[in-house]
This record gives sequence, C-alpha cells and structure tokens, in this order.
Amino acid sequence: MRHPGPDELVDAALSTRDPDPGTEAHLRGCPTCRAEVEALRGTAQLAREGADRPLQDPPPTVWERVVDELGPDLDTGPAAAPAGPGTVTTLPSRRRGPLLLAAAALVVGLAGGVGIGLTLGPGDPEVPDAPGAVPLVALDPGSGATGSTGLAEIGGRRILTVALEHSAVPAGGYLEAWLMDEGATRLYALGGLTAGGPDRWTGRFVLPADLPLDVLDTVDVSVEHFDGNPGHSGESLARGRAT
Amino acid sequence: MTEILPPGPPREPGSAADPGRLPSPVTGSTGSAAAEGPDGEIALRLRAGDPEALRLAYDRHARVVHTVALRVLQSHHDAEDVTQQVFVRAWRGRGSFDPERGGLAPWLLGITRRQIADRLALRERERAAAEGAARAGPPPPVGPRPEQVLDVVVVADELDRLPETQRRVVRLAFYDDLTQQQISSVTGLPLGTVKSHLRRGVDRMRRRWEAGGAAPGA
Repeated sequence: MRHPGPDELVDAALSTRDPDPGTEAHLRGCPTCRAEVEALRGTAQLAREGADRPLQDPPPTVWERVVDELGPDLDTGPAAAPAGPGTVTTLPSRRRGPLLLAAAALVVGLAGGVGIGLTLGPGDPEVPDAPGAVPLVALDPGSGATGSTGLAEIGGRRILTVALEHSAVPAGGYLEAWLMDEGATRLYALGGLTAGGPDRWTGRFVLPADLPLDVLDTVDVSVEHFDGNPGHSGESLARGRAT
Repeated sequence: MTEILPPGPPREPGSAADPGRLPSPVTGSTGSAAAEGPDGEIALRLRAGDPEALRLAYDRHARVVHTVALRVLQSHHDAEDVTQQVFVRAWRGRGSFDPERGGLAPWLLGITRRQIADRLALRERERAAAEGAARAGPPPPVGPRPEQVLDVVVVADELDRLPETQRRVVRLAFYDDLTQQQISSVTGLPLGTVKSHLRRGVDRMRRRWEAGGAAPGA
C-alpha cells in the first residue's frame, strides 16, 4: 500500500474544500495516516484558537521578584556561602569534549608550569575524611559516580580531600583530581587518587599557600590513562566546588 | 482573521504590512532555532547551577508561563505570582530536571500547571470557607481548562518562533484558509516552497504541542 506523502497529508488536513479523492480513499482504510491527519488538524485548530491573541510577557518586576526571592541562592560566584552545596560546572554536552581537550592542552601554567599538588604522605597528621564535605556531582548522572570534597586548614596548611565512589574505572586507567576555573581553561593537577576500598577512591592534597582558590574554585575528577600525557584527558567524571 | 494579501506582485517576507504578526520572543529572535536546541544547552547549564541559565530560561519561556497563568486564573496579580514561583522553583528544583524525560519547556510548564492548580485549589478553599462548608455547592465556573489553554498557548508560541516566511505561509493556510496553490499565487513563492514551508512549520507546531502541551507529570 502506498501511503500519501507528507505534503498530501497536510493538504488533506487543511483543505477541506476539495479533498483529493485518492487520498480520502486511502485515509478511510489507513489508521496511521488518519491519525497523522488528525494531529495536523488538531494543531491547526489550536493555532486558530490562539489567533490574534498575543501572548503576554510578565512585567519586568516579576524577574526582579524572582531574583529577590532567591537571594544568595542564585549567587554561585566566589562570594557564595562557603557552607553551601557544591556548584558544579558541567561539560555542556558530549560534543564539547574536544573543546575541553583543547582547553586542557592550553593549560595556563601557574607559577611557571602545570601545577602539581603535593600528596600527603603516611606520616602526615590525620586529616578528616572530608571536612565540610561538599558533594561531587557526576557529570553524567548515569555513571553512578558520587563523592565529596572538603577543604580544611590544619597546622597552617590548606588540605583538600577528595573521595569518590565509582566502579567503572577502565583497566589501565586511574582517577586524578584537579582544580580548575569555571571555563576549564586553567587547570591545576592535584594528583592521582588511590583506591581506598572497593570502588572507592580517595586523595588528600596539601595546597600551595598561594594557590588562588578564588579562581580555581572547582574540584574535578577525571579518568586518566597511563599514556604518558600529563594533561587532562577530557573525561571528567564529577565536579564540585572547592570551598 | 488576518490580512488576505491581494494577488499581484509578491511582497518581501518580513515587509512592513503584517499587522497580525506577533512580536518575536525576546531571545528567540533568530526564529530558526527549534525549541530543543538552545533549550538543551540552557537546561544543562541550569542543572549545573549557572544563574545565567535561569535568566535565559526566563527570557525564552516566561511569556508562555505568564500567558497560560493569566488566561486560566484571569488575574494579573495571580499570574505574576505564578510566574515568579515557577522560576523560583525551577532554580531550587533544578536537580530534579531530567533531560531524558523531556525538554526544558515541558518541565517548566509542568511546574506551571501545578502552581495554577494550587492557586485554583486555594481559591476554592477560600470560597468554601466564606460560604460555610455545609452550603458549598459545586464550584463556580472559573476560567478555561488549564490543559486547553496550555495547548493553545504553546502552539501560538511556536508559531511566533517560526522563521518569517514559514510563519506567513502557515498563517495564510490556517487563518485565511487558503490552499497551498492560493498561497503560492498570493505570495509569489513557488508551490514547492509553499509546501515545504507549510509542512515544516506545521510539523514544528505539532511537535511542540505533543511534547510541551500537556505532558502529564512533566
């Protein structure tokens, strides 16, 4: 059975005055095409009902009221309350992957090169697991990655902790923690996370005293590969705010 | 009814005399972008906590939210309250937005429907209380049904967002009941062009209706 083309169905839906006999006959016997025509007619009917009734913008005060009511909630800049939930910047979509890769390749060196964090050794004082824990949120909610990060000052040193639950780390890969700015144009490598149990990865890092956390305000955890490339792989798993 | 163009030399699309034309959406001025394009980007940024994304969502959708609320509730005060609450809740509830389940517009309109329903329920409670529970009869007739209003408004909004020529062809077909052949002679556009404009325009409006109109529980 040959179905009418889309144009013929539009014709059938809209021109009630001279229906095409062939199309009419087809429609009587074909529920699929009939449903299509009904949907088109329904659309036209709705459009007619809305004819010459312009939609009305709310007055500008409404937006001001939204901003007023949300108050500091809406301010996720560096001045936001440090105890607030982590703000996560996300890769806008998969196709942005190469962009981040490019950004990672253009890492602006801090203090003369890609920064490398100092990982705490076993002799260091005990650091709480994640003081003031801020959630790390998975960029792909389907990945099941969850975690937290926290910043503490112990003995005059700023110590950042990162913990992530994630099972799907590929063989030959590891997880690495980074600090980055909002646009992922500046990166600071904190270091690799260590497997701290089944599917659990943790890291504790001493931050240099002059590391500008107001700029590098986002903690990022990426999947890295032992490929000799020290840059960010572009495969970010989760992010949270470093506060 | 809007204008019926006299047969004769075609007018340029976008020429001045188009009195029935509605203004372009604030940020949808390109008109060519399907709802899901920029909305997809805005939705991701919103979920990620980018305040600018809330502003963009507001610019694109506050008009529809406000119009639906105004037509159902028939009160400027209540419509403005609902619009405010929809975007406040969109921000606070951004973590619950699931792009897999539908676009940004249906999500916002789902919040809108619940806000309107709450407002209607409140009015009903106040009315019943005022009359005394024992004497409360059937609810008085209120505005038009929310679902119906919503469908009409989203279709009208999508028509507004169509590219100029497409919109013109669709309006001539829908409002002025011209055949595609008549539209062709009235506009001077080749018949094939009229057909493809009409098909694409109607298709977009229909998809918007089906996706964004009355998606239950969106």
